[in-house]
This record gives sequence, structure tokens and C-alpha cells, in this order.
Amino acid sequence: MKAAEQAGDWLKFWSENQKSLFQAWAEGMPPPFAFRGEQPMDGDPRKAADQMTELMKSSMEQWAAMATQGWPKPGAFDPEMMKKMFDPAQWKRAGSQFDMGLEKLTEGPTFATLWDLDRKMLNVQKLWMERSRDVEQYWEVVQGAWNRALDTFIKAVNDPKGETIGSGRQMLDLWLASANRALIEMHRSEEFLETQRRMTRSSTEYRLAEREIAEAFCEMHHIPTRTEMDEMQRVVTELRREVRALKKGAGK
Amino acid sequence: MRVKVDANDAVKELGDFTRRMQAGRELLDKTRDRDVQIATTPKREVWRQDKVVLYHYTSAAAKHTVKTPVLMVYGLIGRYTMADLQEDRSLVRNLLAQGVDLYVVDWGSPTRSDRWLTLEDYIDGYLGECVDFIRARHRVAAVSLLGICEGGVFTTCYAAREPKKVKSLTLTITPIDFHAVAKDSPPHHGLIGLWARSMSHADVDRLIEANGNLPGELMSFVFSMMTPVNALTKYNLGLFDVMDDEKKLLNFLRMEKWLADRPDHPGEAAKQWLKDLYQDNQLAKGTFKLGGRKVDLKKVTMPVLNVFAEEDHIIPPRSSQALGKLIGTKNYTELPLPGGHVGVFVSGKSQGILGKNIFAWLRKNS
Repeated sequence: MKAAEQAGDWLKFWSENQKSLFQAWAEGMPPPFAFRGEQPMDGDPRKAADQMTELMKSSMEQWAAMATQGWPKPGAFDPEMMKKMFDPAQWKRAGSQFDMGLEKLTEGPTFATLWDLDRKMLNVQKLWMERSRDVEQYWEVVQGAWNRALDTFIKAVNDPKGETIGSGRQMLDLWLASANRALIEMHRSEEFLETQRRMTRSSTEYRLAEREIAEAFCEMHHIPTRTEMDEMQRVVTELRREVRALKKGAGK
Repeated sequence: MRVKVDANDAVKELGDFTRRMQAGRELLDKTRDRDVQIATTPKREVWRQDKVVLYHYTSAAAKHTVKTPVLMVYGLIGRYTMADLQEDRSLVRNLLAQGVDLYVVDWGSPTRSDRWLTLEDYIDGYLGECVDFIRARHRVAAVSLLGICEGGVFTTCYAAREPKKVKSLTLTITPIDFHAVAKDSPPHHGLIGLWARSMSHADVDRLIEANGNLPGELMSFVFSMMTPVNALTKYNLGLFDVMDDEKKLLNFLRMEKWLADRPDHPGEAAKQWLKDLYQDNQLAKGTFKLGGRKVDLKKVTMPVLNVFAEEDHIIPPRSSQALGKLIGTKNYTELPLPGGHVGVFVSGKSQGILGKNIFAWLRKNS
């Protein structure tokens, strides 16, 4: 699935949960979550509903307070701002108020399991923005090298003391040599190495956060998670290692 | 302006271009996968554990002219098939033809399930088992090891840990000092080290955590950074330059086949490779540990032949040459060869020299 489609799915899922949450809160009822992890806390449904409603109420108040701080708009929620915030087209505008808003949300207090998935999703969106920013910066550095290659090539072509170019292939070879020099020079530069490192790291962090969401889905649907599979494989590897050592010991 | 294109020359150039395109297209149309086979030297599976397979090459020679069997060990970045790319460019065939009794270890294609395998598992575990198998099979105390690239590091470490089981050690294009680059070397030399050192330990850990292994595709990308224009133009310009010549075209396609077959590097072993060796240079510093024990290169006391490529942009010659001062044997020989990292094995020019020299040295020292 492409990143934009995934983002669309998360947005849809997040929106559905928020809608039901708002509605339930307004009506004083527990929300019918799209993904609900646990059963009510004890045997009394009314008491459980009250607890849930209270928890949601306080959560929403804090969430609203944080969101209000996230961007300088007076009052509580701004639906337009929310819409923009979760519009993938806006994510590339990194370093903006949206970043700060998301950061406040993801770094805010934890509200037990009720908010865990929302938090993970917000985190994924924050990391996606960071990744998009780093990818853009990476391409800016690469573009700079291509621009320098073009400058060098034009100078070489116009150099009156240079060798005569007698064919299209010679012209192409000159361009490729100019590009190769500029690109290798770029690949050695600290600026490139650092932007590449940042892009690799933010892509990695995004992928790991994405895995957390996938694992939440797996847990809800009784499917083994990546982490569980990795752990199992680790045990198998360690057991194989022990068997090899025992065999070696027995052979001696 | 320096551009002076004669109209007649331009027409001729266009005509040549069209003719070559036509000829190339016809040649590509009739080329089938069976025409681009690599690693075709006959061999037989003699041992297997997990995904690792030990093969014994079927020798065409009437008798073995080198007493001790030789085990060829490639690394986990790439595959051993480079040493047997095609009939007329095959170190394997060269050695077999001269009477060398040759084995090769194939590490297989690691998947996510292999992410926890460490360098200890490969060196002390699988490689050790292969050596013991060959020793038992031939009733010999020691075998000769022939390491290639990362496989050279594996064999060096093994030789330092089990010197009595190694009759001789031949290394080819092997990094030892991971920080060594000559000051006057071309700018594309040593880029892989710069890339590895641009990351922090935590960057490496998170990369492996996210992917399980070090993806082969990522390593291909890093290699392509060293020859960027070649990487960008090889399927248009590069292919165009050889497409009307059947021999050159098939050579090109065989090389592409080998390059495309880049397995993932098991995660934990990749962490050690990138952090302990590329970043911290522990092997050259004498602090590299496997299974909690230091790898003491002074214990490499058997004869050593160190082959490196003078134009190697991946493993700079100085990185390989550092070995001489670190090991504990005086029977140490260096063999510089013309060409680059892969060229040593696949170029027509180096091919004869490589096989001939390794054979002559083995005959004397094994």
C-alpha cells in the first residue's frame, strides 16, 4: 500500500473514532469505538459507562487545551484547522504550527488504553511529517549537485581553450563526466552525509511507529505480531546455538 | 563555443546509432535466460545446516596438485557466484583446472528469521563446522582457506581463533583496517566507510530493528553512490554500448545477474559489521571480540597471501595491506592486481593472473 493510501486509511479511522467519541460525549454515552481493546472495568455496566464518560470528558478537555495551545486560534477546537492538520497534503509543510501541535498532542499525558491507539496514530503522523521534511532536504542537496554539474558542463562547453566537441556522443560524455564528478563530490560532503543520515533515521522511525499500529491491529485480531515473531525467532536461534555447542562438546 | 559538429558526421552518427539499436534489439530479442547462466561449474552438496550449504566442486583435473583441500568463503554482502561468473572468467575453473581440490560455502538467502545470527554464528559456527567436516572427510589436520571480501574477514578471524586447523590463508579484496584510505586516492574510494561512519550506533540499531536485516537493496544503493553516473546510465548508455556485440552483451547481463542477486545481511551480524568494524575499526585496533573473546591477529601464524585490487573503490588497497603488520607470521605475501573490486575476479585481464598466482602460492604453501 502506498504511503498516501495508508495515511488516508489512518485519517479515516482516526476521524471515525473521533466522531463517535464526540457524539458519545455529547450524549453522555460510552463511545462505540471502531477498535475497542477491553471490556468494561467491572460487572456494573452503568458504573462502567459513567467511568468511561468521565475519563473521556477529562481527556477531551485536556486534549482541547493542548490543541488550543498548538496553534494561535482563540477558543477551543477549530474544525478547519483539524481538517488541515490531518490532510496528507499539508504534511510536507514541516516545521510549521502543525508540527508543534502534533508534538504537544503526542507528548501529552497518557490516558491509559483509551488513548493509546490515538497516540500511536498521532505519532505516526508526526514522524511522517519529519520523514517528508528530511526527504525534501535530501533532494535539495542532491539537486544542488546537479545544478553544479550543469554549471561546470556549460563552462566546459564554452571554454575557448577546451577540446573541440565533434559529435553528440562527445557532448554526452562531457556532460556525464561533469555530473559524475559533482555527484561523487556531493556524496563525500558532510552536508549530504548528514541529510542522508537524517532521512534514513526518520524513515526508520516512521516504519517502527507504523509497526506499532500494525501490531495493535494484530493484537485485536488474534494475529501474532512482528515483535512476537522476532522474539520467537530469537529463542530458536539461541537454541540452535546451544545445540551446536552441545554437539561440539559431545564430539570432543 | 567549442562545439563544432560537422553535418555529415552528425548524419553518420545518427545512422550508426540507428544501426546499433536495430542490431541490439534483435540480439536482445533472441537472448534467453539460459544464455545468461552464472556459476555453472559442476559441484555437489556435501553438508548442510540451516540455510548454509557446503559444496565440493567436481574437478576436471586428473589428480590434485595441491595437497590440502581449499575452502572458498565469500561474505554475506553479495554471493560467491562472482568467483565463477562464466566459463572464461572463473577463478573456480582456473583453480580446478590446475588441480586444486576446492570447496565453497554458500550462506544461502537470509530472511527475517535469520536476524539474530551473529558473526560468531557464521565464523565459529557455520564456518567452523565446514572446516571440521572437510578435515574429517579428507583426514587432514588443517585446510586452506580462501576468503573473499567480507569472507576474508571471516577467514582471518577463524584463522586467528583456530590456527591449528588452517594450513594456509589466502585473502582477496579483504578489509582489515576499515579506516585506512590513502590521502591521494580518487574521490570515489572509501565512500562506503564514510557512509557507515556518518551513522551513529543508535542509527544502525534502529535501522536493523526496523528491517530485521540489513537490506541487500540498501547496500546496492550505497555501492551505486560510488559510481553514480554509471549506476544511472547502465541500462541505457551502458547497455547501448554493448548491445550489438553478443559476447559483450552476455558478459553485461551475467554481471547484472550477479549484482541483482544481493541477499539481505543478517541483522545482528550487520550491526557488528557496521559498528564494531566500519565505525570503530576494532579489528585493526586489536579490540574486536567474538563471543566475548578478543580476535588476536598475532595468532595468524600460517602462511598468508593477501591479494588486493589497485583500483578498488570499495576496499581501498591500504585497508587490505594493513594486515601485514598485524599478523604473527613472516610468511606473508602481497599480490597487487590491476583493476577494481569486482574486476579482479571478472575482468579478462586479471583473471589469468589471479588464478595462476593463487595456484602457484598454494602449491608452495599448502
